[in-house]
Amino acid sequence: MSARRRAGALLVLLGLAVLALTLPAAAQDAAKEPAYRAFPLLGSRLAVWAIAQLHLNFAAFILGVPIFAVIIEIIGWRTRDARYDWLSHEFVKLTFAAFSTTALLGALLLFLFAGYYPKFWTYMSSIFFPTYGIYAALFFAETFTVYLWYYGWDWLSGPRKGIHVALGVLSNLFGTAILLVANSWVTFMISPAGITESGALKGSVWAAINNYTWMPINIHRLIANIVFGGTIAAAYAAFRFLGATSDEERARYDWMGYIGNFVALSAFIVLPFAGYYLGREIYAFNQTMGITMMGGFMSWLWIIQAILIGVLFLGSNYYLWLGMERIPGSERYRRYVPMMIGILAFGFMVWATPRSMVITLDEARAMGGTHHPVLGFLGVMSAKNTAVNMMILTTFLSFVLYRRANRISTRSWAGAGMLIQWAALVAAAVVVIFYGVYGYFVESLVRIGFSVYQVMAVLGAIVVVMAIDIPMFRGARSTGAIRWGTIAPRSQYVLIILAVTFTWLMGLMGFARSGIRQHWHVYGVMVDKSVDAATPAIGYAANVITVVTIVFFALVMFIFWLGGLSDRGQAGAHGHAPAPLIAGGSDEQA
Amino acid sequence: MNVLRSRFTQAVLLLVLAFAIFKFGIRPPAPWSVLTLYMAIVFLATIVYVSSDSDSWREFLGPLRTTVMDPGKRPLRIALGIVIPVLLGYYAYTQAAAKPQAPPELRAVHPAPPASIQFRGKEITIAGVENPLRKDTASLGKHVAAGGEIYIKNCVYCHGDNLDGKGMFAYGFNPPPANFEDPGTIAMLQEAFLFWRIVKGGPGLPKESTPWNSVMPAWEDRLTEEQIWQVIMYLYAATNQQPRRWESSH
Amino acid sequence: MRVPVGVKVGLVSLVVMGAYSGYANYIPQVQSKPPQELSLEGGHVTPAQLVKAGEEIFHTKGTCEICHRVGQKGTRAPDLAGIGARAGKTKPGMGAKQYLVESLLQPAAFIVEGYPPIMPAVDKPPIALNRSEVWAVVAFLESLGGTVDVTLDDIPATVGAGGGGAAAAEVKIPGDPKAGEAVFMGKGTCLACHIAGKVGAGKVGPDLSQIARIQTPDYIMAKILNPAGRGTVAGYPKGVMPQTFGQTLSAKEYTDLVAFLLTLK
Repeated sequence: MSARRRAGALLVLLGLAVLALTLPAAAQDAAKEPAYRAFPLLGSRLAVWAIAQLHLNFAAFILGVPIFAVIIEIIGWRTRDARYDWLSHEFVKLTFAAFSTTALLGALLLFLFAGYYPKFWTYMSSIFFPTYGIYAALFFAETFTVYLWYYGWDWLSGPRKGIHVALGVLSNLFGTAILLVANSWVTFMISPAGITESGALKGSVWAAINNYTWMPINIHRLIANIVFGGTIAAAYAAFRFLGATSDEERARYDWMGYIGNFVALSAFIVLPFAGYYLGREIYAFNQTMGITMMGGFMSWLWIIQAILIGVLFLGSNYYLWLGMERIPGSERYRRYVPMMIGILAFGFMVWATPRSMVITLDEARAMGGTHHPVLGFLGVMSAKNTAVNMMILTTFLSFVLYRRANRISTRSWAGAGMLIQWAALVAAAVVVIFYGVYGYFVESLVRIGFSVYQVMAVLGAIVVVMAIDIPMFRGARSTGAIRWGTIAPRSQYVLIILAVTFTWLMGLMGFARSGIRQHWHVYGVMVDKSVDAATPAIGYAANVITVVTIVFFALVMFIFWLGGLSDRGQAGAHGHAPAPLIAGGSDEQA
Repeated sequence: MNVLRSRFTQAVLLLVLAFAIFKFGIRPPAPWSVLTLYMAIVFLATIVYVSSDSDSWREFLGPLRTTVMDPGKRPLRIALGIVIPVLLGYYAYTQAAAKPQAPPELRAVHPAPPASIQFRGKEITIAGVENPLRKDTASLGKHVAAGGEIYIKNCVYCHGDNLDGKGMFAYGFNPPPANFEDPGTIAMLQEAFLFWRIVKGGPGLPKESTPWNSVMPAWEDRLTEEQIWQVIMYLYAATNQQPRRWESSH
Repeated sequence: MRVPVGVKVGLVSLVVMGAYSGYANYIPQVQSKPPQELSLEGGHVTPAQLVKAGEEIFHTKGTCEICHRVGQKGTRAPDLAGIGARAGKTKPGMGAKQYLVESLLQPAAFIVEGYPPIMPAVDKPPIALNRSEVWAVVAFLESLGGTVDVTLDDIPATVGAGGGGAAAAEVKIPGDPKAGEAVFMGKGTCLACHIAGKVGAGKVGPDLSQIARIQTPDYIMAKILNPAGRGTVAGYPKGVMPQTFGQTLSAKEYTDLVAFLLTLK
């Protein structure tokens, strides 16, 4: 990163802040302005959509990556394993490169709103003006902490490492706070609160911030950002792995990809629960909005979402199984793979079964109605919750098997411990399936409560299994070191597919979040009267998402390539963190 | 090499078996769109299965590799070179040929109800509303009986005397009338939803439920508000189902 | 020949995204259109379309049906069957469309014999039709027995400009609707003659269950103080409503009562 680029990033930030503070003055003149202007060629909606999605992709990346960079740094600090410190630094470097692009896109988005949706922007400013200053201040704080964190890596090493880690934590706190502020604007548009019927702020701005969907979206986005950061970092590692010329390099990037995927997977497992919470709050805010989202106009979007998540589950497991090949001793666990594929595939099918099916009239005739008497059972929430919980359990099992692939417990109670672990998994599966089936025999309101028991059973099993697993394998006998770098290259394509799928999924969920407002800028308060007021069909949305995702990856590749250039130019001169040797390294695992 | 033990054959058999189960095991037959979705998932899972370790993957690719590379397999290559394009061509033909059938439609089974509707010029809230007659616990039986009479006078022709959607006119309609015995219909809905559907009928369906697909009349001109609530009570009583309650918002 | 990694990775990504996009396009497409706010200005509309739109407004946004019916005598207002033919002869010196426009915008200007001046102007809140909508309603009324010849130019350009739609000026009555309900049932004895939603049973006077939807606060306030001066709703006995509320109710009770009546929508 050259000084010029740094200055560029600062300049953009400064511009952003100044803009944010001066806008209301401009907005007062807006009363005489038209409510909309047309963006040339693309149309205003498409322009805002594309830039918002790009900005969010980058923002998710620069917020998500540091979270696990700091986690990894802490692991490295506590275990004194240089590999983790190097990896953490590597991740922060990636974040750093994306910083100015994020700010640039944010500024662009602001211009688009102020310029092409002046009336909407005026209204939002009338509610949220106090938060703009906070946002700008937080952005400065975040930027400078990350600067310190990145550039102080060598300076604050050794005995001062604690301070350095604290800086990393601090920058993440700032980053999360930024996210919370921005979420308040977005969620207000979905579920406005704290305003009078005519839309004016009633009391303090806090009531508008703390609306129905704010907290659920905060949680959901925070977790999703970690997943996203992890998949992107893993994809970066995969890319470097595939292009590597030496075994040493391959080993290093294989390991990096594994860690990235591991972090992503751990966060990904809890994401469905957060999504469920968000859905409940949307229903609580407005039943019609909930039904439009789940059963009405948007119902097919969830089938596509199910397909994407099914791919993510199958892909992550597949990657773990392929990874076991590089671990001597893992052959013992191969026999579980067909069973796990079976559960995942069946769960995938159940989850992707649509409630409203695409049928021809003849098929409807044969089925005796527009919904299928047998498959209809799979289209409802009871079946889907059961499927997703089973998939989560299976993924967890994959991970547990991976963890112990090259280790044999030396504890005397290992047999009993193993038995309890299996019992816990089976018990959780039985509870999940029992409530899934029982759900068909009770009324909806009771059934909704069952999903909580299912989640508790799964989380309980995870806790029990890990509580036994950790002591059981402490000081375990090793059957051989992990041969980093020998993983099959197709596994690296899986990592890339996971990153692409997750990015695409984010775009899709962005469309869902924005689309449930239908023809409202601010639901129930400010009607969208622009030419683009109609909410587009899913096919059109998918095309936009695909194009934007391609642009995003092209930009990311370019930025990474730039980062690589400066590395190459200063090889050795930098003096920092020579990449540690990983091939045949320790058999410790994360 | 035993043909049956080859990975490639196993994978093909697995796919054929899965297809046979989906095609013939599900009664009534599953729609084609669902079938293709399931097959895509099984295909994905099969690929994951055969490639989840390197030996298996090599074994799976073996027959493919020899077919493409082995000089001895030239006749097979030529045969495939003819058969595959012909099959693709046939598929393209079936897709392009005009069929005496409407194209498939996406139909939301239970579309989102409006927050309120106009009933004979009076605004009636739908969201969060319970059947007002249920408060009158003393005369529940009376309302159900009245509802039964209304049902027999008006609804039985299509929805049938067993409430299973098989009335005497049902065979003239495609898709057929709703089957109330099915736990996927009224048991999943609030009574207010039924009220909306009865009042506004097929013409009042929102776009996502493609209005022209239902011949349900709008009953607002023929039945009174009370009569509609009564007939709704009858539907639940006669099928022994409970209406869905509204979630209390906090 | 070795394909560069970037190309391979790019192709894999494109195929994956293409598959998602393709599937999303393969299923039938549903667009969610915003509800139509009628705007016909500048467009080419056939009389048939105009009449259809007007009929829709008549039944819904216009709330006309609360008082008027077509083909039967309304509870408070004339039957509109054949109005298209009648309109030209009702008020001397005025053509059908001018009369209809005037009736909608200044209802009190000409009152049909036997009916009181209770109709609100349709371009003002709470009904607040815009110019196009008034145009369509006139066309619909003309179609009831007459020929549709109204053009947009027949509707004054000022219609609907004074705050239509969401910008409707909200009148705040500083009363307490709860206390007003008590007045309605107690001291005011209104319930003896009127129904107001859940309360009251009397059929002597008109049903007030939706009064706030069809009447302006001014009308309601004036009617309580001076019932005879505002005319009697058709079909109800004349002169029955007491003239003495101005003396018997305190100012607070009066404002509470009005606040209560304004909640009846």
